[in-house]
Amino acid sequence: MLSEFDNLALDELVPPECFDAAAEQMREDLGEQGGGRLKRALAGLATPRIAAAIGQKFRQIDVLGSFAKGWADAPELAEAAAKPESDEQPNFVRLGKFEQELDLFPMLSLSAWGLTAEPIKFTLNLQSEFEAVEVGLHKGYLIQLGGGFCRLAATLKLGPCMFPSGIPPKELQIGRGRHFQAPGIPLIKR
Amino acid sequence: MRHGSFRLISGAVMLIGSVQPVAGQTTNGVPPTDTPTRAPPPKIDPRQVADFIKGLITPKPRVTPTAPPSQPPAPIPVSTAVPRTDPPKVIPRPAITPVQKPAPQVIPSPAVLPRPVPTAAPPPAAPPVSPGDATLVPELASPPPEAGIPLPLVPQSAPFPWVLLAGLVAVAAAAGYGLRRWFWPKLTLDCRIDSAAPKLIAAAHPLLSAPDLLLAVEIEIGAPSTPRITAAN
Repeated sequence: MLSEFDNLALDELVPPECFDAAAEQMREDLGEQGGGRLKRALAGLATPRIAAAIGQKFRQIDVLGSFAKGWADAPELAEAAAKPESDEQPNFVRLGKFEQELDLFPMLSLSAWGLTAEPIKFTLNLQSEFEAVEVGLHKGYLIQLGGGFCRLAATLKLGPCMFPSGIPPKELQIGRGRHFQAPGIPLIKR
Repeated sequence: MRHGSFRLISGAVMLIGSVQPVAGQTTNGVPPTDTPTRAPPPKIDPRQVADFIKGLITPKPRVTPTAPPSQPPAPIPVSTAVPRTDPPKVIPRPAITPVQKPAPQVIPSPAVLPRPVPTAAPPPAAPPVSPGDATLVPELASPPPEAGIPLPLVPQSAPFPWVLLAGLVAVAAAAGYGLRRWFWPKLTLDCRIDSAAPKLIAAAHPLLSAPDLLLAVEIEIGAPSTPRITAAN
């Protein structure tokens, strides 16, 4: 049985070891650059907590909605947007199979003893492949999602360094339906 | 060592015994209020006492006399060369008695010379002291100079440094043992408190515990990429 997209946890995509390796790399870089000792010390202290902190924040992000903001360029949605819509009922369009990427930038800020180090910026690159997703449109806004599947993978980056998770793409089910708050997600036409 | 100690002790006892209170006073110098006047003790010549004790203590020397035993002198020869017409006059000769020489006096070496025990001098006759005269300073009766041979109280060959060192070591060991007995329960108790309450130590020394690390995470969401259609519906 597939997992629901809404119940997705970050550790299912990126294991904590990747965050530990990234923190270690960050400390080495700071040592080579002669960077702030405070930053390096705090990074060492925060290493075992980075993964948990980012994962906790990851749960508060609407990842699926963030992907959906880029679907306006999908040809099916372009055709549906051109058709006249009723005022009451939304138009439902089933999308085909497509790939999409999304970058998330976790900003890590460390404070101790009343001192705050310069934030550390990670990059979490999400690679997705959606298939057979049904989208509800209303007045140029995406208000509902239903059905379909998603294969999702993630890669953690710190500057030029990449930390592959080694985990195969996660199979997710978009589920019975997802309603967005009115007026919905605006479709951005590029 | 025992001999030296004995000498020391005996010398000290003799010294103490030689101190006699002045007649009419107590040993602490306070004149008695109503002490009957006693007759002075009979005077004894201290030299006689010293000689008597010396004779008792002085061992007999084991040195054999060097001089041969005395022999009776030869009889006086009577000249017979001159004939005499007179009847011989018998001159009575005195009875020849062997002259007994006194025993040779052998002076022993100082090393084996037994030390004469100083005799206690008799209390000297003290002047009468009026009972009410409290300002008098008690005089320590000193033996007359001719009472005996003054001896050094400390033998020269006594191993005092070793005794002193051994005593110091014993005192130090006892003090160490006592301190250990006194300190050890406290140290043990402190260690138990430390090991049993690590949280208390952490609270007392916040620098030794983990600091209050504030880890703030903000996730910035980037723009999604354009969908790349792989299979149209």
